[in-house]
Amino acid sequence: MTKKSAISLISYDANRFLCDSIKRYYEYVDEIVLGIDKDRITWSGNPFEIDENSLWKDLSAIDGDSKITIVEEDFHQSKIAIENDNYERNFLKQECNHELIVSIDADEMLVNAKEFFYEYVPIVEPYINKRDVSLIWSTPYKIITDKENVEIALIIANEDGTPFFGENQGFMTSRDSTFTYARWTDKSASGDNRLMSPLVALHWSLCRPQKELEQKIKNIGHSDLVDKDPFYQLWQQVDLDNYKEMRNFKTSGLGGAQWPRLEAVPLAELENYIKNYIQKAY
Amino acid sequence: MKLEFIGKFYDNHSLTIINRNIITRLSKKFDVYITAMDQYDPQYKIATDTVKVLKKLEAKDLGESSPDIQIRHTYPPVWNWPVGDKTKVIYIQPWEYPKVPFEWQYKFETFADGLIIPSNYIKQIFLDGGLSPSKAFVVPNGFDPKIFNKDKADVKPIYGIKPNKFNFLFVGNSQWRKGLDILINIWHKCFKKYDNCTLIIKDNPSIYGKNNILNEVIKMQYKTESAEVIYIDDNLSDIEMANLYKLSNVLVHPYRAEGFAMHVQEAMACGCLPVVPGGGPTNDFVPDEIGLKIPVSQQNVGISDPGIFAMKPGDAMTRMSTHTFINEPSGQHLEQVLKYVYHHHNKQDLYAKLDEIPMKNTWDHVTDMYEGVINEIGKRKSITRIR
Repeated sequence: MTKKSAISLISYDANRFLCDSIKRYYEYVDEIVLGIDKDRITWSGNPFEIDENSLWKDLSAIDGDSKITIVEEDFHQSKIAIENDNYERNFLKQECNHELIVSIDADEMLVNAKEFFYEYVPIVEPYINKRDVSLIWSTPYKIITDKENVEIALIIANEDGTPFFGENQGFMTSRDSTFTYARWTDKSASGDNRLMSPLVALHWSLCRPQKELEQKIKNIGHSDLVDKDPFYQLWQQVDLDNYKEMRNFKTSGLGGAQWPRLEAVPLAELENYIKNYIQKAY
Repeated sequence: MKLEFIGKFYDNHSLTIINRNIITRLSKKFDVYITAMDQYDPQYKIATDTVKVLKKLEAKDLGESSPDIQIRHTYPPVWNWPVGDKTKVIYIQPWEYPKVPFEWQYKFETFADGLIIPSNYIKQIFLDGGLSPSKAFVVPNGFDPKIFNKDKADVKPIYGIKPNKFNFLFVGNSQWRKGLDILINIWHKCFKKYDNCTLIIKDNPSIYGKNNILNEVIKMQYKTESAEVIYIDDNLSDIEMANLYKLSNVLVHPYRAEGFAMHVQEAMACGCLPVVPGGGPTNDFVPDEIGLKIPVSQQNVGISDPGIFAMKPGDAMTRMSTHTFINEPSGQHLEQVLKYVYHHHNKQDLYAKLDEIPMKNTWDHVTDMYEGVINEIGKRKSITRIR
């Protein structure tokens, strides 16, 4: 089996997500290269703070095979966030020692990594020199505590209440690729040469406490688009009384798919809910 | 006799392959000029010697003179009037479906001096559409025995294909008429991971367009644990195609509609057993005795359905109405035939039958047949074209 390198990013949400994310793929890759801005500045040029002592300690605790390397570099050279995004990913890729590159963000939790790496990747390996492999996002939207003090996850779902698997993101490429739009490369950014895969990631991008969400949307790679998007206003208003009224409510215009509705699932059951329907993802 | 040949010469579309092979040989028999509708493109890996001959012919100038005969082989057909009143026009025109475009029937009847058709099956379709039998000539497509032969001394392992496995090969594209969907649907029922066989799919997206075949076959393998599938979408030269055939044991082509299926003939010349439907154009060169034909059933289809990709908006077809019958290969029988070949205890018996098939359609032989048609048309009185 061809050796694989994973690249991921350390930024404002690292304490909350990064170690849990790495645990999901740690045993299936041969090295993990993590990037952090040397001045602790985001791609959008804003300073961020994390509890670094705690993060280094947590990373050490999971890195039993010494796979993790941390690269510090100036990742905020451009005033355009997406250029910094691309630059960091390409920089980290060049630090990798293996031909297959897995690119994953800290707020993505792989649900079926074992099947993907053991069953799917051997089938697609011959094609990765010309194509990229994508993963499927399943996206929790907001967590709300109900009257009985149970944490409820509102997750983007289909009309029939099954998880919505309609959004993809670049995940695996080869080392000779160049990231040209976040995780899409020169091979796949035009929409061609994308291999669909069964890999599902719970994507916590939107589902985080209000202040952290605010920070996130001001600092992501495509933060320039966020200013015009009423997403955040809508998000603030959604609660357990009105979530069923949300229909086709994606406002960003990114990607072709709409978000049909929200489904309420107890947070503790969220991953089982995804696994129950995972055959529908691919 | 001055011949002008109009068509494409530099890519790997089937029409172009025919044009290249015919014209380089006809140029030794006639005073040949070519009007190329494309340009040399190295991505198609045409042999340098062939390109030199084509460029030389392309550089020849008819000057003020007119050709005695124009041969046109393009899709769609070129209907322009020849410059000289005395120039005769021969079309080479393949077709695949049971009805032909009405415009073609009318123009071939009233404008062409002759029509060269690659198979008897397609000739009958033109005749059923109303074409005068006197205009229709069947000349098969050919193969180059210097390249497509059973000499495996120089075979190279490519694309991870293992010569010690039993390799089934499909050559074509994703068009519905090619029947790849039928093959993919039964492959996982025939063979699982533990079987020592591979399905090789040679696609041609640079000519026939991008498609989703690779995603479909990957998903099929992942979900069904089928035997290995190797997908190739690179442009391959004739020599590389011959190499691919020589690494394969069976050429499987469960087509619904074909004009000739030139690659089946090339593969047979390289020692592949042909698995094709009965009753179609391949009957001209795949005898029933080989015993590997797939039964077909007539299925009613709307020929104007865009998914079938037979008609373009605005086209009309011969024989009224837009419904017609298509020869649908039986997936169930295809499954049985593939298993039969794979599990056959004495495969040499099968190959012995293949060896008995006279592979007479070399390009040299086919060019002689073209020469015969050209001379015949040359002798005939010109038709009066209707203005």
